[in-house]
Amino acid sequence: MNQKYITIEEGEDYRTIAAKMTTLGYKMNHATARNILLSGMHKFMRSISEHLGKSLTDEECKMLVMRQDIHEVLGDILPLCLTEETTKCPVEK
Amino acid sequence: MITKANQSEDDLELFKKYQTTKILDENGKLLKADTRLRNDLAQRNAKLVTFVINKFYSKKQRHKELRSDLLQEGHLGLFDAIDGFKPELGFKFSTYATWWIRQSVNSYLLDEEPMLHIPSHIRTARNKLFNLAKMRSIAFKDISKDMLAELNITEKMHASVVAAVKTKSWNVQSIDEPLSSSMDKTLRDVIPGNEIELSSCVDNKRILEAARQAFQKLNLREKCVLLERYGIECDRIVEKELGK
Repeated sequence: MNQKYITIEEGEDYRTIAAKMTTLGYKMNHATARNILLSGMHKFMRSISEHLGKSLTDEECKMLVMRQDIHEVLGDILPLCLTEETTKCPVEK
Repeated sequence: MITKANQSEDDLELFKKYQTTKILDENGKLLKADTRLRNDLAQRNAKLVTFVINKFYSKKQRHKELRSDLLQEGHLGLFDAIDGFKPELGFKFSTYATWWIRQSVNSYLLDEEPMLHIPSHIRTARNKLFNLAKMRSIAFKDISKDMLAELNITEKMHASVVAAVKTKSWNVQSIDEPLSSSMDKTLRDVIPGNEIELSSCVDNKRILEAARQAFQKLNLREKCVLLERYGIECDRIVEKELGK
């Protein structure tokens, strides 16, 4: 089954995102917002895998992008990407 | 037709017969008896065990879970009752056996419930002390030496009870037990862990660093859509990027 939409518990829906992006100067509708999100995630996954020394194929990235759990995890990782300071490991002194 | 009265008369006859087959030692301990007769009596009174379990041990969730074990323990108690019953005293067997069944089930539950083993004499002393404190409306710690003497509890035993209560061994809970029947979470999931393996820390740091760099590679439009999707305001990012 080729699903196009993934539902996440918290966050905005594509129509709200499209409306906000339009106000920011990037005119788009909900489907475009979805496509941008999926392509952005695709890029994001590929870069991460490259950094970790495991380059994923296009097919693998597509599969990952359509997984619910990946979407959920991304919600935890993204806020950390915005913080400047590196979080210290509790074991380190 | 077998009526209740007929059955109890039959039982009485059987008990009298069983009494004659018993061989006791000088301390009154049973050495030998007719096991076939005993089994017959146990079968005839098996419903009593179910009755007692249903009456006294059917409300708590834990008792419901242990129902089959409790029934087994109850039957063991029933055997003890059959061995000890004296029909010549004139009491009904069910009156006598109920106490044996309850005793057997209670001792099983006490052995089963606490994770740490507490000797039965300490448990009994603890129950006595708690009952006394409740009766006199005083705190457990306010129990005086005179009161201990009343209950025939030595100071040493009292100290052991206090230590057992302090360690809360009655309330010990397994770390892998679900917090409630409707939850999948266990105590292990809730307790904050102090020991984090260094390797997992390093892995997490590597992944986070990779994620940061990957995020930087996205264009502004993609960054904004991603952030908005997870309810993170992207205004600051836009200002920062445009400021460059």
